[in-house]
Amino acid sequence: MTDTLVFRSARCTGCFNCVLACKHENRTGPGVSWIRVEEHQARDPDRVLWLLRICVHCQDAPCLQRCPTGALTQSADGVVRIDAALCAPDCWSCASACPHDALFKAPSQGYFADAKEREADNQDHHRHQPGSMTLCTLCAHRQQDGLAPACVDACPTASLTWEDLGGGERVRYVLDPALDAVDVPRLRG
Amino acid sequence: MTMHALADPPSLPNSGTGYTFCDGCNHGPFCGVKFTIHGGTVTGLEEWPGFPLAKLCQKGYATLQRLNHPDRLLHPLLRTTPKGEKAEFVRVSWDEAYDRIAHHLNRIKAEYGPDKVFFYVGDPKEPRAAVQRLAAGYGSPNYGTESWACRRASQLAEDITLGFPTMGTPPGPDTRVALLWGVNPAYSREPGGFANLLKAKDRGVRFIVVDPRNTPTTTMLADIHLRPRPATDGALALGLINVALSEGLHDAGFCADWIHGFQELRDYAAQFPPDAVERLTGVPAAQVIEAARLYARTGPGTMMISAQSTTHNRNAVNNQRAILLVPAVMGYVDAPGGFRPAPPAALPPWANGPAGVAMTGQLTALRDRRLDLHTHPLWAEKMIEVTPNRLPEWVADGKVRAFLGWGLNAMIFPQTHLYQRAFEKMDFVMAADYFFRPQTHPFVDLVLPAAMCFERHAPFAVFGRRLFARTPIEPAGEAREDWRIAFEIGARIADPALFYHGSVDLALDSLLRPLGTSLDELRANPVTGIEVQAKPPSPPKGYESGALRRDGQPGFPTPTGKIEAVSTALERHGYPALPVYVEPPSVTAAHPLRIITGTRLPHIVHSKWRQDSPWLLELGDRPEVLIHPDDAVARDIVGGDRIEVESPSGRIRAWAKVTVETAVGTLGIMHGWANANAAELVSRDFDPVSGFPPYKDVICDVRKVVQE
Repeated sequence: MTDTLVFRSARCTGCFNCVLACKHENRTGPGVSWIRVEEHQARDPDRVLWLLRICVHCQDAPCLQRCPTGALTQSADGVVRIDAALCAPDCWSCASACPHDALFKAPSQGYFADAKEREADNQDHHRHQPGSMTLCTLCAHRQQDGLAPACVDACPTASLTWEDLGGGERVRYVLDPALDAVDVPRLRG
Repeated sequence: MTMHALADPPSLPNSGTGYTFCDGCNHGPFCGVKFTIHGGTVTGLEEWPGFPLAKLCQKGYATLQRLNHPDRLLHPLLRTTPKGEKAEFVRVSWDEAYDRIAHHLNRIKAEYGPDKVFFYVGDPKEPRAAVQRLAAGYGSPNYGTESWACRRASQLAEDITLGFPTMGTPPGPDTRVALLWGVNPAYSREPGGFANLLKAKDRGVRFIVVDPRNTPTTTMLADIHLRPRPATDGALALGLINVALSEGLHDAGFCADWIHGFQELRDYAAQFPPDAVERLTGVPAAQVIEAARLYARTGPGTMMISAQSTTHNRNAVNNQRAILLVPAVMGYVDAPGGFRPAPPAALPPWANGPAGVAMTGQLTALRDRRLDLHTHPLWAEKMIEVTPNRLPEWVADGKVRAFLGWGLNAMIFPQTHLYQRAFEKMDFVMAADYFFRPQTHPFVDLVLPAAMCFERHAPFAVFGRRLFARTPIEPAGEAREDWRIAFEIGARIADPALFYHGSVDLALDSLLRPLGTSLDELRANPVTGIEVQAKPPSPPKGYESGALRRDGQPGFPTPTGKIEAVSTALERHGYPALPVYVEPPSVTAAHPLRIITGTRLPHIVHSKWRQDSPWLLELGDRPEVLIHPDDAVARDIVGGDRIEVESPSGRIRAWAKVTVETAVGTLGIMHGWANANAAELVSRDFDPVSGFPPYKDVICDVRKVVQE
């Protein structure tokens, strides 16, 4: 399945539903959000706009090129994945190479570190090897069930969609040029 | 009262699925949640398929962390130190807690009379019916809710002007223009509500949005964005009416037939020509004309209004009356595609607590001893809830000696510290809540642990004629659901049968029996819910057919049978009868800015969530004051600076967020931060009709804090 996650800035209200849907779906732990909402001043002096920051699963991904252990790989479907067992502690090579700030170290502690939280984080995709880097999986576990990523389902304005664009591109930003005064050329793909 | 024997509620398996509706906002909108249970713990949430509102939002997801939070209150806590000193609490049993409550209630009733006890429901609203019953059964008319400062001023304006409650009507298939006044549905409506408005725009509906701020609603929907200074909406509304009337754009036939006092309104609105409106509100005269023309010429038009953004000022009810009269003069009220009454439900008015449980009639019979009878007589006549706005004075005068609060939050009160002192001075204060709240509970005597929405049965959900039950898990620790707490207190101080012998199930069943069903039947259909008889929505123009009035006669359900531009109710109580405009206090050299306290964040409701869900705190864990870049530059303030806001009534410290979300000259802050309580900036200059505080009618200045 090679649907593409499409973000249309003109439809985003900055509501954070996608952020919470991702935290709930993937239990990325304290301080780690695979999807983040940035607020910017638009060119229009009376308008703010929101940009999602997320792993775009770049073709020729720089994180992958810089990974010294082969922990990061990119499969034929274009998704960059990490093998936690191969990830070198305190390496950070991938994170420092990423233009999207999209790689995160899995925290060693949960929010509450109690039995209830451990019980709640009971799915395979909830588990992140502490100290290993993590990144957006495009909710691979949901795609197996024919579902879109959790952030897409949570978006109330179809700012995030899951579309068959017929190519290998996995994430596309559709930025309204009338809105975007911020310097985001690297997102224009 | 007949009570039927009930089957035991089905106990949930250790692992499986359950269903509830979220209380992450404030009772409504009652979004459905299907949850997964594993090892006795709720482990995940998803949409409840088939539920009328099923899309989850940020707050909905966060209820999972709130439910499993290790800091939750799990046992009753009794204060061990004298009030006024550092608060310390000790765990006690429910029996000890109830004995303590019953002791004070019985003693105060015997020594001073039952009206000296105030009963209160804050947030969530779900306990309302049970607590209102407790007040009525005990014999005190002094029962209040957080609606004293939220929806009720608008509702009062609607009642005396239109005769029916409405928060406005989203644009329907017939609608061609929509006036959105002081609302940002992108953040305040259920997920999907804003998307429907975007669809309406896509099909050609024109939008006029009134808001001092730039919000997703103004930027994504507005064809015309009117930006009045806070608290000047009445002048803007009268200005729009004046343009329509003076240019002959109004519905003359409707006005003549269906507006009481139309000529007086016309004469009064003539005092608000566009240039005067520009001076009073800051909205350019040309824009006032353009908006009035668009709204009048593009009918049918609807309107959506806020629960409270336009009533948090010194002229709350009359400003709101002026707003309500804008669609009225265009002939849009109850027109097809227009501004219509809220559709009926099987059990109206649900958010106020079902009347059968709430003993509304018995409480009304006690009204002569209401504390607000003379300060706000029209309010006291129309609203079951007593406004607690003068609690500090009542406590000082010995008129309130005890206070029982569910979801009580001291930060709702303007000049919060006066109310905290009042709680300290009372003989006894009880609070039921999910967490120990630092701005409230250090001032009370007893804190009770409340069960959350995954853990309680009451109330069930009502969507028109469809009803849904919850399938709760066992509450954490010794937490109990709010209705049970109220009934168990009641059973100790009055006839236990009056309080269903403490049984929530019997209360719910008693509500369902008159609808021809039962709690057992409702529970037998946990996923799909059940349908009961309910009045169907009335067709448009019910004022012609008789559908709006109880007596079936044509007309609006007001004393004159017409929309009352001149209010007979206000007249009867000696208030000005027209929707008179009162200018808010002018800015001064010392306080050259205004601040809106209560500029909403999308993921926070009131003060909730500040300590309940780390997921949400990661989106912002400190109070921020919104400052326009021009005002920031003039004060050498940059984003992230530590700043102090000072009003004539108080000062708070927070952090600066420099943004064009807010207008030049107007600051904004989300309320409810314990470390920057915006209510301390707000004066106690209450609207004379409703008693509402002027949260959005505050002059101030801001400066950078050089040294803490």
